[in-house]
Amino acid sequence: MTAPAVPYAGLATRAVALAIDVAIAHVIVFAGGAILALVGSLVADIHLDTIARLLAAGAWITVVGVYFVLFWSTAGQTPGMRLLSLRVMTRNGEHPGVTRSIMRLIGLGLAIMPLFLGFIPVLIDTQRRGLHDYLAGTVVLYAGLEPPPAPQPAPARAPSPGRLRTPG
Amino acid sequence: MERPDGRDVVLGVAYGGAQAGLAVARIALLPLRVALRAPILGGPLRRAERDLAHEGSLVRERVRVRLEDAGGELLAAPELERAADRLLAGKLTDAVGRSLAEHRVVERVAAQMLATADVDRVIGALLEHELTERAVDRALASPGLERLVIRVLESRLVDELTEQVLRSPEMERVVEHIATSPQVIQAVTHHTQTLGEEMIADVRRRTQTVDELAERTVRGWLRRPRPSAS
Repeated sequence: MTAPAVPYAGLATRAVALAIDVAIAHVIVFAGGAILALVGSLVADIHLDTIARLLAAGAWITVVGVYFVLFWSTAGQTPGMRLLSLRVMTRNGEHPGVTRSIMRLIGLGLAIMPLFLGFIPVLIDTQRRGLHDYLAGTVVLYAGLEPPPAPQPAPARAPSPGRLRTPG
Repeated sequence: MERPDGRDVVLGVAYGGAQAGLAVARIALLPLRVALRAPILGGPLRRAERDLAHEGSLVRERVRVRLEDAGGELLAAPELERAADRLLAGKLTDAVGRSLAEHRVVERVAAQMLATADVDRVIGALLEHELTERAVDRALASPGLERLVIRVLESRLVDELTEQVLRSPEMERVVEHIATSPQVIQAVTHHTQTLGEEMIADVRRRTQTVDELAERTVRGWLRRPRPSAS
């Protein structure tokens, strides 16, 4: 396999990884829901009212959110990202923490809601960052490829002795 | 006490006489031996001895040739043929066969041959021989063999044999053994894993190509070339 030109992951690879992750998360949600429904049907005749539906929706959001936050903050990659050899990192080269992962999740939701327009910057940005990456301060890399070193700030120039003004 | 047989007595007398004759001959030839060692008579006598030895060897050769000729004539004689025919037609053949079977002669001979002969080499030489190859080629090319094979394959015997083999407990054991064999499981797992890895690698390669293509296209529309990686 030829190495990509840049270490930052592009739109198609990230989209496939996201699709795999969403599928896995939904399998977990549906499996849990099916088990709960089975138990409920065995125990009593339960009908979902509005509150129960809201609770179910909340549980869905929680499971999906926990899935992403847990994997980003602990392993730096979700199962889908692992399959496609992707890794999410902060600009310092570390795994994002829980707070940053939650920020990224919120950003991901915001990027998806307007018909995935939040992903358009990936095509333009030099580091291929989406809206959620901007918000969380993260980048997504092809695993095994190091990002180019961040530009170091220029050291402060020491004042020349001739310019030193002695009080006097 | 039993009386001795007259013929044995005659034989004993003849044997004793011969021994006595030999002893007398040795004594009679003693002067000759002494003469052979004598310096004056020794030379001519040794020459005479060599001449006699030469004559003797010629006679021996002639006798051998005669004997061979006589043997050839004897073997080619129709009388011998008739005698052999009578022999084989008689009870002796049955007796020999019974005896061979009773004493397991064939098995013993075969065992000895297998134990002593280099069977692998013999079989190898036989298989590599040109005549064997030609015979096999002729057999394979013959329409008779083809017809025979077709008849065997089309016969009910093959179906029944297959059914019998498939239904046999041994076959079930073999299948079970193969299915639960760690080597087979390992090979299947390895191949499945390899197939999965290849598929994922292929998807990865294609998506990365699409990544580059999509970015290049959008940047082309916006007239914003990608800055170099360095």
